[in-house]
Amino acid sequence: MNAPIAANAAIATTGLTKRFGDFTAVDDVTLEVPEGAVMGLLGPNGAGKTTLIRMLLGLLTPSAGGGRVLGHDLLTESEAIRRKAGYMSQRFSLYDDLTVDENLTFYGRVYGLKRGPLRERIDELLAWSGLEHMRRAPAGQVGGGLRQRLAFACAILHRPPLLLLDEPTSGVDPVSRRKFWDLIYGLSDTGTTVLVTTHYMDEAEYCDRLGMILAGRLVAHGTPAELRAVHAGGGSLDRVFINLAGRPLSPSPAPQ
Amino acid sequence: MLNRLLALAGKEFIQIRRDKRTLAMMIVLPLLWLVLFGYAFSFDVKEVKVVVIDNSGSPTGALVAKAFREYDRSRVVTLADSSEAGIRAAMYRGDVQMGIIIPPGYAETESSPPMKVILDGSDLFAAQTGTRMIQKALEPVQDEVKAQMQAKAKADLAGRIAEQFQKVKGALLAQVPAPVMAQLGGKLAALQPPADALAFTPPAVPQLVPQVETLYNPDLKSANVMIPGLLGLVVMFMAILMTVLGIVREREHGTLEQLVVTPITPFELMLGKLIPPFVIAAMDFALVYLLGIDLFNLTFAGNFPLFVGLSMLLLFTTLGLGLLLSTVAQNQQQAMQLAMFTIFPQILVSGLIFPLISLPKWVQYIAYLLPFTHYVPIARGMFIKGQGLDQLLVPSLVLAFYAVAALVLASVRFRKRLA
Repeated sequence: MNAPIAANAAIATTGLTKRFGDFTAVDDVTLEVPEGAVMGLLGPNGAGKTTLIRMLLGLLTPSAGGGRVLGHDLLTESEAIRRKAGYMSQRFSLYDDLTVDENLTFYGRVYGLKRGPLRERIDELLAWSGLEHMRRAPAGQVGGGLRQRLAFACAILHRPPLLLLDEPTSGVDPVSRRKFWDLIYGLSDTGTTVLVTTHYMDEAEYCDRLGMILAGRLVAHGTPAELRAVHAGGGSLDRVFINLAGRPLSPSPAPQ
Repeated sequence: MLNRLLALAGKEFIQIRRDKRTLAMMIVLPLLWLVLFGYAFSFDVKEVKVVVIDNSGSPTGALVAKAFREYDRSRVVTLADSSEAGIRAAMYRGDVQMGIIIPPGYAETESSPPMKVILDGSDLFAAQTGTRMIQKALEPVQDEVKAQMQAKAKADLAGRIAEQFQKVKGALLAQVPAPVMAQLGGKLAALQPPADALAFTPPAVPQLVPQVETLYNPDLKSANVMIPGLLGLVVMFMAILMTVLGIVREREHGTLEQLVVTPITPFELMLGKLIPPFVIAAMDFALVYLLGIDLFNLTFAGNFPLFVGLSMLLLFTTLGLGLLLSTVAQNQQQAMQLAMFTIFPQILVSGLIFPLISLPKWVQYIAYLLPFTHYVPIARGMFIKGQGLDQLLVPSLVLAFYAVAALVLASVRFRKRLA
């Protein structure tokens, strides 16, 4: 399944594979994410979503296959990819002992933003994410949904054309999850490509395109409508997943 | 590159400033050690509890006994039972550290028994001090004892001459007829020379107490020997702990992963993580150096820039070790344990506290593998003796080798571990 790589693809991989010893975490994934799309990777925990994202960022070397991210070869140009892409891990990696402002300033400087523009950008993001009042609070005291938004703001400070979100909504209440998707849409409207992994079925509906991952394999991908038509005879996405996996995707709403 | 490095190091310093525990450790620990090593790790015993029993009945014996009792480092103890058994019993109880018994007829004849000294070996340092003070205590009375012996020798001689004279005179007079005897009597008496007229000089007793001159540390103060090594200890401790904790904490919190996907290169990350421990170790070095000199009246005898340079080698070695440990430790607790495991053997066998030569051979071999063992002679040699690179070439080269090896090895492993 060597699909031709479209010129306007933000991400295009062919046969991407990662093995850890006998265990194959990602198995022959050929994936294409068009520029400006919001692409969801849906799959249970341990399906290989995180490993796939880590390979796209050059954090892990593929055992086989390759691809291009933002036009850069992920095997040889991972530094260029990291400079351009934004990444938010499921752990919302923030410095708890730094304030909200200091966290943003630090990541901004790391991405090479100059002092003046950085201040403006931080003000803009704080207003946009509703964190203005928390500015001087230590990040460790910012809870749940706000914390997630802060991590999100840190990831998009440098206006990355591609944003990789690894389970950004895990452990966040449904209302915050809903608001978070509004942020993603807002970003998408500015032309940013978003690749987001999730194990929440309800979030799958929000995506322009969807990939379903099971045991390291990309078992289906397309628009939600396409998937429903092909795999569920026009039924729900839940039905699509059950038909593909033989069981429903386990967790529903996040723990409160 | 510089901008990212500054951002990273700046962030580290903000975090250190907010972390009360680390701040306390940075300031309190060096001070605590300074006091401990300067005052407490002193093996000199000021006073020894002494019992002196004088059974001699001779003036010399009395003089010696008095000398021991009046010596300013003796604390005289009197026992109800003034016998050797009494001393042994008191020593068993711990009331006495040193017993001196001056036997009957001490110093009267060649064959008179020597003075006996009993020491409590369980009180190691008091016993050693006791041995050393015997000579010191006797020093002030040695002239008096000498004069006494010489006067005695002179009196002996005069007595024997007079005796001999009387004998010869008696034999001679026996042959002289009585009338002549009457005439001679008075004149003969005048013939006996007085002892003073003999112009006799008693034999010279050589000065048996030598004049001892201790070079470099005349008062044998332990602070002089401890503080230089302590400088290295503080540097090592701070550098290794700050490095390994700084990295492992970020790994635990997941921020290290986040840093790796930023444009920060592994080299910048390493450098940014090493700069704060470097600065803090250097600050603590300065703190201990200045306070140590001030508190204990030390003088640095060597070339200070060279000393700083060589201390830097130890610092680089330790930063490398810290970085290496950070690639092994899974969490902060492990990091702490590994750091301690790396530091404590070095303190114990480096010669900082116990002399290296007194250790078993196989421990010495291990000791020479440890970097700190090579720093101690550098610190002491430069601090106390003012030694230069020509005397300290070997330990300096070993440290330089360790510094390069540790940093290279650590950076290779660190990059691997990040990927």
